[in-house]
Amino acid sequence: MLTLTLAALLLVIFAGINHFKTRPDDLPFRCSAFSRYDLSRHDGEKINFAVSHDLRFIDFKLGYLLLNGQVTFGDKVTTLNRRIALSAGNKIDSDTYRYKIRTVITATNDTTSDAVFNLLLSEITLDPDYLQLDIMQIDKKTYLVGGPLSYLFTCQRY
Amino acid sequence: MIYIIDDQITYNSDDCTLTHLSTQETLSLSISSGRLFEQLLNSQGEILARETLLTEVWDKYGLRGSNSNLNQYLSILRRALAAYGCENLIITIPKIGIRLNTEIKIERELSPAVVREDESGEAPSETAVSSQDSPAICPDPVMADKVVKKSFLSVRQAIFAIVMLMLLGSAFWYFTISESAEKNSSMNTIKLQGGCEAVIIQGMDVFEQKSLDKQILEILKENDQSCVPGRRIYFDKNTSLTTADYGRTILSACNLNSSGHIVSCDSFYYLDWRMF
Repeated sequence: MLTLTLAALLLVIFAGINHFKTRPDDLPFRCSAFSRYDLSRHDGEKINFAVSHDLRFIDFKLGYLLLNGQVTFGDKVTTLNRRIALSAGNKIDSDTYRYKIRTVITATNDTTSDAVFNLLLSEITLDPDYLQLDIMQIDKKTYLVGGPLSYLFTCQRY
Repeated sequence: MIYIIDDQITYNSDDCTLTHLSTQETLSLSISSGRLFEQLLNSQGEILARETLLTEVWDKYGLRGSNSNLNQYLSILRRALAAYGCENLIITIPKIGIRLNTEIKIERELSPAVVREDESGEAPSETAVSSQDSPAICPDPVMADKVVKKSFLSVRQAIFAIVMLMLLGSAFWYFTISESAEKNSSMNTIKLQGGCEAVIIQGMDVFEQKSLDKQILEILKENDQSCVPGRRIYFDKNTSLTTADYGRTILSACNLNSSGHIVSCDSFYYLDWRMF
């Protein structure tokens, strides 16, 4: 009887810990970050993106990545305000999410050319059709977000 | 209480044992015999009516005693005492009752358990009175059983409490470990000049540290970021296509709150961080 009680207690305690522990797969996952991307090649033209991100995985059907900021391409400075709308997502391993890029919605104040924006998009996305991000918790509310090629930014969950 | 009878025999009312002092032979009396003997020893030579003894020894404990029982137990006591060389201690006064032979010396000593009670601060006189007045020094069988059960229960409760504490401890350990495992995995933390700490996401070997320090500080400087205590830098680099560059490099400069948790970060991403 005592053994059974203890086993039940053990189960309840560990289940409780796992239940209440914050995990990135607790959807919706929302996080924001500011990042500067220097995509210039050595001795090449200056390509800088200073953008705020708002990443939202609302559920496995819906999500988006909002990019809002400023782009410097050579001497030209433009505004970036686009939303990568996501759908048909799933979790492909313990910390990797893959969503289909449904569409990229360009805001009316966005003055960046698609060609320049695609430089950033290719760093972030797996290919033009899929966004695949690794989301690794590094602190209580902080996550390290990685793209297919390297880590991209850290973001604060809210 | 220990009674010394005629300097020959001791009777310990705590465990109902008679001991012959010269041979150290011991005889255990039954609980009722012990109670009866205790009543007689505490009577100070007064005559105890049979009814009184029946009440004190049996009735008070929910038992039914009879005159033949009383006679039987008295006989047992007499034989036991006689075997240890003490005869005529218990005198029967026909139709009146029983009394002790006052010519036989009886001394009293507190048993070790009672002495301990005294030491713990209780008034000795009160203890002596209560032990003298106590009608039942020997444990009642039911009571004794309860005591044994109670102590067994308390041992079980103690074990249960210890196991619970261990469980909670291991749960806490599991929680902490799993949390820190999430944080650390293969990461290395180094202290940089200026006081901030840098977490090398992919880990590093010992030979790399100097060049990493330099690179991190350069990136911080280029982006007007400070390296002061209370800041934590996350850094990662990937293999470059050429030996002159570091390749894709990310640096996140984070501010910590008073409890050491990150409150905000700025990230810097380089497609080709320049080595020179």
